[in-house]
Amino acid sequence: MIVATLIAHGLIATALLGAITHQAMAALRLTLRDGHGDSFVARYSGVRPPAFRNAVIVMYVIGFGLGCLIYPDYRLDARIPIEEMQLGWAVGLFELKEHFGGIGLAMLPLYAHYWSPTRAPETGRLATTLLLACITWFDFVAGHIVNNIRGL
Amino acid sequence: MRCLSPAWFTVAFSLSYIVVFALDLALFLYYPLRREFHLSSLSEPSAGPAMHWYGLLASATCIGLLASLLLRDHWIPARLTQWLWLTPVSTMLASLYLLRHFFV
Repeated sequence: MIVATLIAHGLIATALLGAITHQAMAALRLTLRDGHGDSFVARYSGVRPPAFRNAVIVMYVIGFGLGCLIYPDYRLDARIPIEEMQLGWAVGLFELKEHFGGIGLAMLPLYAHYWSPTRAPETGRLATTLLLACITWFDFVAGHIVNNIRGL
Repeated sequence: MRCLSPAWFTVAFSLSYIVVFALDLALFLYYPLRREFHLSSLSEPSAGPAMHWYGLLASATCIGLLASLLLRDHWIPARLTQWLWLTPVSTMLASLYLLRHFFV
């Protein structure tokens, strides 16, 4: 059951990465007033960023919830062996992942507020989206590294 | 019913998270070996390791919810509304500082 939850957590995280990266790139392109081109980057970022808001929030909350369910198993079955291997940096990496994940969750109300249809594009919107994207990427990579060292 | 202020929630959660993390003010502890929640730490070694993170999140969430209920969005100075994202950034940097012993 825990393996199925871990896989679902990974799949949701992958989908979230796609959505938040698309949105962040599109918001960045709009802010930089970069013209429409036919390059890969232009087409990748050529989406309507507001359309991603609800999907990002729902996927973040589900992914976070699944992570919370897995966490006790990590604490008992993965962290203790990692500590025995004296890989303190891996424990620290996961600690950072959990704290950043919680901070990202608390950023969702502000993120939703900035992306509400009544608000105009602004610096805060772009910065919040880029920050949420950075948290998602960091948590994804850190989770993979620690899981490769000692998986559940 | 008054609406909650999303901006104040994020700001209050972020700032309080630094404090509850630094001072270990978790609302409760979770003992995964026993699958039990406790308000204080257990002294018995058989209880296994305690998890503080859920309790830290709960503490900061309570403060965030209280602030978002009591404070209004328009009380934030207009020139600061674009810079609220700096509070979670400072919380992340503080977390990195508090966890530095894992990396040095």
